[in-house]
Amino acid sequence: MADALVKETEQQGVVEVKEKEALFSKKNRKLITDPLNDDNPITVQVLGICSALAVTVSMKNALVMTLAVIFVLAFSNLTVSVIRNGIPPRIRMIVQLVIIATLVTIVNEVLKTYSFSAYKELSVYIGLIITNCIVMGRLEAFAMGNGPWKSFLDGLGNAAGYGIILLIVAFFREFLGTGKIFGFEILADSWYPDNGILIMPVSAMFLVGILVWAHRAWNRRLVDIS
Amino acid sequence: MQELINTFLRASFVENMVLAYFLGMCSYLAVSKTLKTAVGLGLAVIFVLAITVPINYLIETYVLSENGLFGTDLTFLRFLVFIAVIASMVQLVEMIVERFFPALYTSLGIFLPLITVNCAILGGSLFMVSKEYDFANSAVFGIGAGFGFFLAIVALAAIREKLRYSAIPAPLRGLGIAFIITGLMGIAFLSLSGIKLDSDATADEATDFRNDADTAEMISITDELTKE
Amino acid sequence: MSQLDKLRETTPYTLGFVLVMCLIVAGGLAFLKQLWGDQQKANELNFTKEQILTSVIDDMEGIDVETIFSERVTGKVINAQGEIESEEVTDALDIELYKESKKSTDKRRLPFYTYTNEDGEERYIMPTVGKGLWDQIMSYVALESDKNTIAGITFDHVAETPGLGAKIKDDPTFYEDFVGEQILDAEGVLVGVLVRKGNNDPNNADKSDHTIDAISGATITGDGVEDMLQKELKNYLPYLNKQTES
Repeated sequence: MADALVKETEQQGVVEVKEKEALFSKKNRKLITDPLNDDNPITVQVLGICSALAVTVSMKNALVMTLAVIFVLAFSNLTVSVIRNGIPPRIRMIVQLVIIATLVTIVNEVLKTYSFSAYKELSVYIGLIITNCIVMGRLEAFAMGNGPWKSFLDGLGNAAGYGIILLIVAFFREFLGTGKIFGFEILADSWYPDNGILIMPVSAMFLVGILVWAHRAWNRRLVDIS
Repeated sequence: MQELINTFLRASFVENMVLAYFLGMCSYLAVSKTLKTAVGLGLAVIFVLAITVPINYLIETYVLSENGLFGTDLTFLRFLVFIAVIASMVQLVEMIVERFFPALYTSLGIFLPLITVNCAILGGSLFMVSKEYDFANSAVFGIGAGFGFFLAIVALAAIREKLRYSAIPAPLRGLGIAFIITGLMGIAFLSLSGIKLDSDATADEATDFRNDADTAEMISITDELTKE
Repeated sequence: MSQLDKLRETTPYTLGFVLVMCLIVAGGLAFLKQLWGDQQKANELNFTKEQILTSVIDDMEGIDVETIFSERVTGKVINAQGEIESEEVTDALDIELYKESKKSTDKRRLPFYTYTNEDGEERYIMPTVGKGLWDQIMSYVALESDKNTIAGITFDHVAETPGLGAKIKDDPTFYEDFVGEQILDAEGVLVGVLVRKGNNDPNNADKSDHTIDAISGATITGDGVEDMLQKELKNYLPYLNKQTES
């Protein structure tokens, strides 16, 4: 069942027998499921907050942002993991940033080519993915020390965890702020006056704060974690 | 001179990076647990912003723009170049702090290198571009923006230190209450958003027309109020 | 340390790494620009044409932008003195509005479009650029053949707040208010359109006051719209007046 890989390491001069893990083994699946709950980037790791405030006014924006972050996070994790042993230590951060920035530029260019209206709406926010602490944070914490496939999965998981929070916050802000969901009017303008405060970024601070409260009340393991 | 003062005031109060634009949240929330670390990070941010914004101005104007060194529009490289400048700057800061302020270096830990991805820093340079500041204004804007961040993080740290003795429900402790406090401070700063510090009010006839209407309206309102 | 680790620390390796990385990145991005540049330009052009048509056509559902534009719209490039610099619509479409707006008024090249509808009536469409709360805002203003009454208008912005400043583009109750307002007063002086609170005329039934209702919570964006119209439309007056004379 498990293939055995024989690997010789210089440091130890010892023959290591390494089990080749199945692609979707339990440990690998955990890489995707942990950030959705126990290790959520926004509510536990305190990363990715800025965009959670800026992009969550409409669910459509939140969704496109999530997809863009999934792409950038997964592939930057992958790329850095592949070249991690060759990166000169003195310029480590610069190399990481260049990789992230390049991927973000690619997303921007793709949008500009294939969905011009989305590009016009989101170009400012897409640019800010470069400084989304989640991307840099996961590169440092995971991709620099783990293999490519695991890093890719870790990227997917963290981006998904980020996306869930984004969509929840965006739901409340769009629904209660404008009466719409994904642009479709649910609460008609005639009787529901738009709740202006929810459209301002300030409200997102409160919403995320309450989400953190709810998350930790539900998952008691997380109390006082950060 | 007045223009520079306006830029500084706008950058540090009216358009405070943290409390008006909500940039730089990650380090803001994570490092504000104690006053000492907050002051250290705040000073580091002032330093990085004060230097990177003017440098990025020079690069934007003399290299990336169409009239620059290469003669063609290289603005699509803007993100990359700005980030590279910021990363180098932070690397420098890290080395200085490690050498001359070792205690601070240890207490800041990972958040010193994380200044590189602080959205407030890149945001500062990008705002400088979109607001089309010249060199002097860029420098003042950088210092002002850094100072605004410093004020905000020190304020939050002071509050959180005092909060350690409050009875907050367990799930809300720490991060949760920090979000809510920041939200309240943000609302307070909303009140500053209407302040007009612009020194580029033009003297068009059209604008004068509007001023006359405004004055007329104000006079009539004051008249009505004083009548009662 | 392994051989690779020792190599990584050396300066020549670091420099070499940087060089290779820069080449790959710059080369890759330049390649993509080559590949996609034309499509992107076409997208922008199509977007501009769509904006121009939206200012005069009420229902854009199912409209083939390219066909209608080529059939019904002509364009020229004029300057602030009222002279025609080019009669080619492609020249007009090529003008980068924001860049032009930074030049001094006498040097500016202004696009000017004429739309002829099914009844043979002409509408004059002029782009304007200005500053909103955060970044650029712009608008295509369409005037009726009397060169005074607004026939339609569209707005666009870069980074206004969604749900507030962005309403200039998304909310019909804002931009439809402009239709029927006149930009010149009785003496022919340019007033533009004033964006005011407390207009007491929510459906904008009064078309003689040169004023429309502001968006609550979007004062600065509204002020930006008002300023933009007043400053920019002024540049087109010399040409419009010359047309009336001839």
